[in-house]
Amino acid sequence: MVKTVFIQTLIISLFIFSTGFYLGDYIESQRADYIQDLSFRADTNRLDLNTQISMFDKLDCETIRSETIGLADDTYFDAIDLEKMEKSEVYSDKLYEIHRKYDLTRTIIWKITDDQKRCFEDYNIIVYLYQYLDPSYESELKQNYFAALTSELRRNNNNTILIPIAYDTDINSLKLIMNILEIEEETQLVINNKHFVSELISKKDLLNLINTD
Amino acid sequence: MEFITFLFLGLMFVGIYVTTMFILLTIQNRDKMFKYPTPNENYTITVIIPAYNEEKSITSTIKHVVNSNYPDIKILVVNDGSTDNTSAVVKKLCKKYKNLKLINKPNSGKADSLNCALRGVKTDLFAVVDSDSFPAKNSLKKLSGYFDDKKMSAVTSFVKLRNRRDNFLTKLQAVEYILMGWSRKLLDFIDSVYVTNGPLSLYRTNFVKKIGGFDPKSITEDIDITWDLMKHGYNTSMCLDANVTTVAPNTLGAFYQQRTRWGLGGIQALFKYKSEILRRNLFGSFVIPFVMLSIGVSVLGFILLFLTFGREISIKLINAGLLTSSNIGIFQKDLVNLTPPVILYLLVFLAISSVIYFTYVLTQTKDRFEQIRSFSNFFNLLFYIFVYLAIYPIVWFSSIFRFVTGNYKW
Repeated sequence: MVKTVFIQTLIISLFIFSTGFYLGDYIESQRADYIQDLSFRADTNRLDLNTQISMFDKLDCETIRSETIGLADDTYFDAIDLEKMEKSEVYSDKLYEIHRKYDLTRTIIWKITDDQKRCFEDYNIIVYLYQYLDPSYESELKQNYFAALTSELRRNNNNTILIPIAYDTDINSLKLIMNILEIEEETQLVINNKHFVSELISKKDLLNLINTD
Repeated sequence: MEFITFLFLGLMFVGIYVTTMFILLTIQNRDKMFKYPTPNENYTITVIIPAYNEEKSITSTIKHVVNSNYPDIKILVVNDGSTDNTSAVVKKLCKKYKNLKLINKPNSGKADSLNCALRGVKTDLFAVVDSDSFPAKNSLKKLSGYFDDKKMSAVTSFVKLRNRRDNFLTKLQAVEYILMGWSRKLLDFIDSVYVTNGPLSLYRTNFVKKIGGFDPKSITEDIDITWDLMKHGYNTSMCLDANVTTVAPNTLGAFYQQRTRWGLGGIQALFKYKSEILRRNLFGSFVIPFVMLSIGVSVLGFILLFLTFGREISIKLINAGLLTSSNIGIFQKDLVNLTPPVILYLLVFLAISSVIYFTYVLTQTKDRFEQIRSFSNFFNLLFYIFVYLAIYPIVWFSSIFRFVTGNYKW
């Protein structure tokens, strides 16, 4: 009787556990499929942007702005989705490469805003550089703060383009830009390629910094 | 898959196994939960009441025992060197009740007091009743029937709280005592009752004497004596219909003190009986591993939850302060993450099953209307499951610390 209970329990527990495990795996693969779709879209958008860059000299600022900001917005929201999935990912580790694609796209957007300064004179370009791989407690604390600060700034100021990029996903073009602008890894915010912020800053001070331009 | 995820899944499996086992045992034995055997013999019983500074409650305890409907019981109060008026109070009662005797001795702890009394016990069975506990009238009768089984060595009762209305802490303990009693009865169906509680348990005298009585070195003599009896191949049991009420700590300090002592006693027993583990009997192959796993899952689960969510929660809390001082909204719609890790679904499943099952248990116990009728009682249950159980491992850490540092004070 006693042994029977233990065996019955084992069978039922294994059933519940494996059902939960496979259900979890199924839900996660659904999420991965969604991210894969995002990734395809990111690929297409990046190729599209690269094609457009070659034509920028022949295009008016209105078009350049509209294309760049549109892509920056799409990438921003896609990347937020991606990061949420990454935090929830348990069974697999497929998202790192997709993250790199987004970082590359955002690097290109940053480059465009710099190359086409004439079209973005009325805009504030805020690049938020963050550590993606194993940030320390202090770094994560700071990054959480900067993420909230820049997100609020972007939402409340229509002429702000926010470009969050992970600086440690091994994107060579990003490394080159950071070298050219002499940006150190501790830097968190790059404002209009002129001001560099690495310590916590209040919203008021950040707005003052932006408005000095 | 990371090691931490693997560990989490392992703990989840143990959690699912134990919950499933309890649900299965409940379904298979639902008609037997409150049943008890009627005794075929008239066993003689001595009730031992060890007392230390219990002048306020001892009279009521003795009266409850005297009023028991079990015939011809003898009552022995062991005054363990009390510094209050316990001795005088009992002496006065001795004049009134002829079957009551008092033994005065210097303070040496509960186990030693029980051994001291046991030397003079000539009856077939003896009961231990804590001096702040109050057995129901028919409890001894209900417990005695189990001793028709010639291998039965100890039978324990269902403890309820007398002071459950004191405050929120005692209300939570009231829920816990019911669930503990219920699960102990379920373990009875697989011959694994591993604690015969202090408030009221009945023992076969010659078996306890044969194994040398209670261990004075043990800080929880009730766990130790049960394990010792099981080790010697004797049976133990539990009667869910034999009630006793007791007084639980109503301050956090006293509660913490009591629970770390219980925890320490459990760890002490695990080490004392470690050589029995995985022996080919239920004690070695189930009881000891079950207790070890209960402690392990509780402590490891707490550490894992802390590692998984502690960092994120602390960052969010600190950030909330920083963002507020900088006049930035704390809840940014874009940044709110409503995509929980898949692994949490198993935990949610376990939590929901526990709520449903525990609610069922509360409705099945005799206090069902008392316990579940109002929303506040249901809230107590939810608080017990999601908060109390989540932070209870702190007590285990403290017990482990006391064990490692050799702090065996009562």
